[in-house]
Amino acid sequence: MDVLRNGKMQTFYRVWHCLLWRMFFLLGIFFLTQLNVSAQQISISGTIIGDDKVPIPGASIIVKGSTIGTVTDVNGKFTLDIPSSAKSLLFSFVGLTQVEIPAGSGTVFNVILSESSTGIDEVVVVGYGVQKKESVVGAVVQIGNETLMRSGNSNVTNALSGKMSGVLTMQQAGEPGANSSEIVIRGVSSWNGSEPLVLVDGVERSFTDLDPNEVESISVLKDASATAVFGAKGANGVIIVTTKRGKIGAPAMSFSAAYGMQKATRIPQFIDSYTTMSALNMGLMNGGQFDKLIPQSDLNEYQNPSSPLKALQYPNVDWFKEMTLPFSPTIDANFNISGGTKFVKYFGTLGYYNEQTLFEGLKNGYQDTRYKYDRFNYRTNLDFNLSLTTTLSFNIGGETGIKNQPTTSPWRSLYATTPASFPAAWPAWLLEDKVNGIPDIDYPGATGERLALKLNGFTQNPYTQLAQGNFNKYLNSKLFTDIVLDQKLDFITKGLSFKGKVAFSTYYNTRTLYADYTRPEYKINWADVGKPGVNPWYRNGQSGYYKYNLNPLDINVGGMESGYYRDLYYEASLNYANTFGKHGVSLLALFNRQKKEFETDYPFKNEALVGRATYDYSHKYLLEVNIGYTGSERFAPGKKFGFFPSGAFGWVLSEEQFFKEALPFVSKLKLRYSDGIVGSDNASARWLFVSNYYTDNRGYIKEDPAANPSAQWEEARKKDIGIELGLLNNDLMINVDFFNEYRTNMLLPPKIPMTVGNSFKDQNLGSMKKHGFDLDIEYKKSLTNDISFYLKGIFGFNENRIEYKDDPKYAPEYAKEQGKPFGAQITGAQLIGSGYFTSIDDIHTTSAPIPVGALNVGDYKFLDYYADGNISIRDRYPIPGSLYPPITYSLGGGLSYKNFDFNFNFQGNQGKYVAFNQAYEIEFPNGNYRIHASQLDYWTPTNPDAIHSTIHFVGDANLPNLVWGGGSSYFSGYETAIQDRLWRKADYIRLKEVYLGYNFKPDFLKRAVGITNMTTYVTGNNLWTLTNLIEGDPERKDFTQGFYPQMSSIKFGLKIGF
Amino acid sequence: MILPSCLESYLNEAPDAGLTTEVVFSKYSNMLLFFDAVYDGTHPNGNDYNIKTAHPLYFALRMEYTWDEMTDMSDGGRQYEAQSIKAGQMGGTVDKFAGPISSKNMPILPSMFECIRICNMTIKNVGMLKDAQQVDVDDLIGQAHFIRAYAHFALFRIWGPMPYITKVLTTGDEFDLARLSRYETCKKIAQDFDTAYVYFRKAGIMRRDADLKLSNPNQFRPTGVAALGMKARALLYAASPQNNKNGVTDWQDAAKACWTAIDTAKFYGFAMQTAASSGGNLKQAYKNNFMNVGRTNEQLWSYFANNNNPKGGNYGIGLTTVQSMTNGVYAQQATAMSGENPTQNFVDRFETKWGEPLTTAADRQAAAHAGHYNDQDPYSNRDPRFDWGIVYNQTTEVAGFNPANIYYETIDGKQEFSDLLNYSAYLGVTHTGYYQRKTIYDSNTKVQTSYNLTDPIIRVAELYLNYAEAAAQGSGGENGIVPGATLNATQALNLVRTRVGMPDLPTGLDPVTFMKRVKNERIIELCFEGHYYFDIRRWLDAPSAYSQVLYGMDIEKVAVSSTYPKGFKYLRVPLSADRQPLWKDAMYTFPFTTEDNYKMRNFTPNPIW
Repeated sequence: MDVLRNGKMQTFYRVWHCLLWRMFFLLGIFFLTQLNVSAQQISISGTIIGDDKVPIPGASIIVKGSTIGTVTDVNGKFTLDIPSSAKSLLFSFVGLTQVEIPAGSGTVFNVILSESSTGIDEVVVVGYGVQKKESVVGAVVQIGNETLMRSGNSNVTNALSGKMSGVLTMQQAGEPGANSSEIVIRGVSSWNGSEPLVLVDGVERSFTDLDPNEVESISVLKDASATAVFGAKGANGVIIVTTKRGKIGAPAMSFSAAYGMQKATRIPQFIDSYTTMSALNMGLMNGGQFDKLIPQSDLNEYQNPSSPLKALQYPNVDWFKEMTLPFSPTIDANFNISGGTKFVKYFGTLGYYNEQTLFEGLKNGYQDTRYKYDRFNYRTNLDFNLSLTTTLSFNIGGETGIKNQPTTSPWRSLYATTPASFPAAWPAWLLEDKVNGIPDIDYPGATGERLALKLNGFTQNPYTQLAQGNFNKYLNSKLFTDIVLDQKLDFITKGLSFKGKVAFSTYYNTRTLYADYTRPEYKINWADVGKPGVNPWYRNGQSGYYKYNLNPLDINVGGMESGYYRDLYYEASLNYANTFGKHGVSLLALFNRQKKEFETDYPFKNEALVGRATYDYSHKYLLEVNIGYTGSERFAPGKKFGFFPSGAFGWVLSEEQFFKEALPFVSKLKLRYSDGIVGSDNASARWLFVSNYYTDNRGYIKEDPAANPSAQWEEARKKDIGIELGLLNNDLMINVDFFNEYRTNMLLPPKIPMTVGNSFKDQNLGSMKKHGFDLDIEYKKSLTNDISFYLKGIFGFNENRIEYKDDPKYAPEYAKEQGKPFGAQITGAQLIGSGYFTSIDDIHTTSAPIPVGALNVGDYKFLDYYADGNISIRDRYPIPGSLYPPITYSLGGGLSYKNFDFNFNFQGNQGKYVAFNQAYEIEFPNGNYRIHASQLDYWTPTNPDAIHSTIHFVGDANLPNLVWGGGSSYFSGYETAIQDRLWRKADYIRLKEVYLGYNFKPDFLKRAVGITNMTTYVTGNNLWTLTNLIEGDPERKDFTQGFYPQMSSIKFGLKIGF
Repeated sequence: MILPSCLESYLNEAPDAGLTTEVVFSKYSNMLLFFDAVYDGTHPNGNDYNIKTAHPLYFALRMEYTWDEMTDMSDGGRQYEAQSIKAGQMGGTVDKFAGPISSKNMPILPSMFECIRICNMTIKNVGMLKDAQQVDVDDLIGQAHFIRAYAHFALFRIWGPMPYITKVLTTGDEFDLARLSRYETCKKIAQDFDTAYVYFRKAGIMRRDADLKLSNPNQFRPTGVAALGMKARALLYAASPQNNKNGVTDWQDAAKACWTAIDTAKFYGFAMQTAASSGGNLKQAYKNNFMNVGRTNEQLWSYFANNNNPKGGNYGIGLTTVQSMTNGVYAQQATAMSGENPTQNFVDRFETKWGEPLTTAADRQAAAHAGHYNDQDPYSNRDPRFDWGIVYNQTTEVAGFNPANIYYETIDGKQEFSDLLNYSAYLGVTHTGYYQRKTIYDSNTKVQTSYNLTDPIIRVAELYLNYAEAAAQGSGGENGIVPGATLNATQALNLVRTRVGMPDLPTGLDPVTFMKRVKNERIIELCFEGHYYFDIRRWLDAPSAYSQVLYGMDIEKVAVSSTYPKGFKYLRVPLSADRQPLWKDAMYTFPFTTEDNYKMRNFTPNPIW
């Protein structure tokens, strides 16, 4: 991680230090020169430059053991009179290693200050500014560019996985262009959304599609101290992304490219037709439908077809195999340049990322039903030094994404379509083969593959579906523009500066192309095969044309898709920072406004007044007060603004003399405590405070739901105790934060009885509490110059309880949400005994949701929780588990040996449950002849410990034994979450990333073409997973109808620096 | 803090609807837009949220099955919720009727309570009107009372007794209202319909078209005659075994109200459709009550489900996809939901054209002895309404099928199914051997066709049936009559039979037998109109209706012979187990959602199925 390379911060610090020192010395030297007027003086001079040969303004030169010193001017030059008694001189600049040179070694000192190895992490980005890591008292974690790049992820959100304590990422799908992770900070905290606030370069923007190459750092603010400045937007935590900036020096260019191969993770196991249809027979027998049984002769044909024709009549289709490619490729390419002169510093980047399809799909001229995504990223960040005290910065960054996808997602049918009903397509030989084939007598001489008929709405032939040629192409574009003016106001008072910023962000998404072809689908009426003069081919759709009429390609330009917005943001701030001896003080006063025009909605408006004061005594005692006074248009007059104060203090014990003496092996110990209030303005609707009449979509005047005249933001009181411990010379660092949160005034719709005939708008009624801890431990060691390694472990725990929710007044305790964790499963059911009815006696003595006559031995046996001798909707009760894991952990490490660089990261969840419903857990849903892995292990007298009840086939009806709690098998899933069946544990540990790189600095290339360094690397993601979930990726929450699976990938890359 | 007022002004903006209570209720045109939401208003999600949800036809359009499919009257071809409900399994389907709404739902419960609220607000605020004539005000109050009563009645039929809500409930009011008795609920409903009648009469709106041309654009609004008809129906329910409180007196009260309704309807020109109403075509005239023409003079108040008729409109549901009405098989829609498939049990209710009942095996034997019925030629010589209401094997000229082939034949030992019985190709195929025809367009529906459908919410024939039932029960059986009436029970019933060409009932029937005939006549005449589900409940006949085995007809094509004169072998076979009904007493009412059950205590929850 290399924060100091960030030009913006460097500027800030160099200038800041310059100012501090100048003031200090003007005062100090004035007095000292008075005192030392008679002493012998030697005049010295020199220049201080950095590694990059660029002069450093504001670097300090001090006579060791005295207060005599000066700072360099803007050209890095200095002159100083020192007493002849001076022993040595100290040259220093923040973030760079201090150099000590004997005073007697000359009168001209040209000193190079190198970056200090411990200075890398020194600066932390916080709300509306940066702070030295040592003086941070809030709970903030930060990672830098190198960590992102090493992760191998092209999506920044996925790259965060397992990197920061208290930050949970859950990637829900692997679809190209739609595979980013859901991010939750310290667990879910509200039913009105737990999404953190995301800022890119200080402005509220999405970071999901940024190129990791353009990101300098990502910091996550977790406690009230760090987030109070964001007021009513900060309660769910804040993610601040800072992009790279240039620094003074010769242009440095780098080019990188990577090629990757992706494979789907944990797709359903293929279950062949024979197994499926045998299970079907079991289901039919259980239902007494003996007339529908599949004869053994047919089953044999499924297993070993007696002829190629029979193989088509009794197919055995592995849909995943038929439709997917062995792997899907990705391409990353990036070029960037950075550098700077005294006048301007620049950073520019161009990125390209491409994700290819997992499906073969149809690629035919301009038709393309494959999933594809191209992303172009660009950015120019410029900083102009208009004068010694004025910096003007322009940032223009953005991305354009082009996404291609089939109109209908094939996932539902891929997970539900039977292997047994039709072949993927009718092969060409079928028409051509004169002996075994089936010619189309309506169209003699017809050849070629034909699409097989889709059976019905939900058991579509996924192959036909994708090959029919219906697709959409979307073009979306984000553009972020900032202008920032930084003016130092030292002429008013030392350390004062003004900053102004105007930012404009736009996003739009258009459908640029869609096609609506429908190629003909064919079926063979097997009964008609061989009948003279009868054509067994049946064609669905158009008839009477030999040439099928394709609809023309429809080109739609300017069809705006939802989600477009433009957002104007501006802020102005005054900063003050100064040091008086051992006292360090900084002050911030800031005002901002935001106006976001989202689609055609009434504009969203926010504004804020922000204040911060920090005090630092001798780097030992730290104090910070933050105030956010933020308002938004969506709350009631008088309640629009919220006042969000927070305070924090820190005590660096390891700076205390007594501590150093008592515990010399403890190299660092810092205690932090913060307490404060933050808010969340998420609400289900706007204008909660007004209730009038509205006009409905047919023009009738209707009464609004009753207003909440005092609607306001949610309020979170957060406390955090942090301990930062460094041992073994800071080789071993342990950070632990204990937190708790009490959220009140949570908006929720009041539960009004039906008799009223009207509803009420959300009221600030709910409350919830949460607590937990974040722990990270890192051990870093350089064994020799050639070998260094690190190990890093992160562990996070959180749990929450709903303190108050407007549960129905007379609901029994077990049916209330109050007192249970948010996201918990309160409509659950558990099985009793072995889980199954094991005998006829059992059926007659235990209550069941369906009549005795309809029960089978081997059916699920439910707990009669309400104890009324009946299994009904009343018997649903809370069972363990939540969609969000209470425990998250990761273990990473790395080893550098000479030119090799190796890194890995394991990440895991404990206590996460998923909704495992419909296609995953229900046999033959909607009458489809399809079973999944969980159903294969069904109950029989010889398999009493099965994980699934005996098999049923009920056509497109509901499974009677499961529907008692509501829901339907196919449309919404069954609503009773049966533990370990429809509600399954999804703990996992997975090898999230592996990185292996080789760096070399080829002298001959440098001489020949100027290449200064070259790195080849391999990264791997999601390479190995250990989970107790039967099928599907455990990072996902919702297992119902199938989804684009997460990918495991390997990328090969090359990076060249000029 | 610093300059908060200047900061606030940036945020103190909200879209201005401009619709305040004052604006809405002082202008007549706004008031109408407010009140008319009861006929056609929507939920913010865009779906109907109005009185239509209580109309059986709308139910069929929306839910893809019908009230009758939840009884022994019909099966649905495709296994769906109807069969589960019929077998006493409601599960999460409860939410579709009683719960929060989504596109798939049929939010009868919440939309009725909202209609009641709109009516109460209208009645409360009508005094604020500044620009309306008294006639319009009276009309509006009449409608508000009518709809309020109708909404309560809809709730009563489905969910049982209700509190009678006559005020706008707001914060501070008790929302947990105690439920009245069943009898009380009906009486309150009848009273409210009567109040509606008083206002309509005051406004002179006994019907909306003085010229009897049915062309008034306000036909969708109820009238004084409709109010009397509905009042009579409410009192009939009050007197029925399920709700009766005072024995015979309740029946007599009902009979009086029924007679008043008949008399008034007649006075204002309402009459049963006859052949003359449709150019001599009786069948056409009869079917016009349900389709094609919009409205007829037989309907006192009807719902015309036509896209071009906003207030009676059928938004969100293209008639081309009316899957509950037109079977997917007709239009060759492999996956479409089923239409209604009448059971053999119901088909047996249609008498011979000579008036002999065929309900029991003994009945059929008797008719066969008379040479009026043949088990192997079961569809000849039946009540004409059989032909008009049911598609049976070899029906001619229906839906583009001429004839309708509903059979299989055995060829080379394999069963080959005819086009209307092709199980392998279509999910919506009948399992009873019949399809519903009463509301089916007789022209070609092989290409899905749009046609007009009407729900005859209350029609003249029903008035006679109501009267016959109430008068007979009131005392006197077949000769039951109320003072001042010109018809007794039998005569009223015979009017309904005569209209369709059926002979009069035999006289001298004992009261029990007579009631059986009254009920049978009602079931036949009002079949597929959403009455049967509720009638068997108020008669307390539901336990036996749901306990019988449901039959379908197994039809095999064979050679014509003396045994099989039509060339088909007809065999009654029980429907499969998953299509059979099951009774438990909880099924008298629909349950509420679990959440609603837990919200209130005075308002006692219904039993869970």
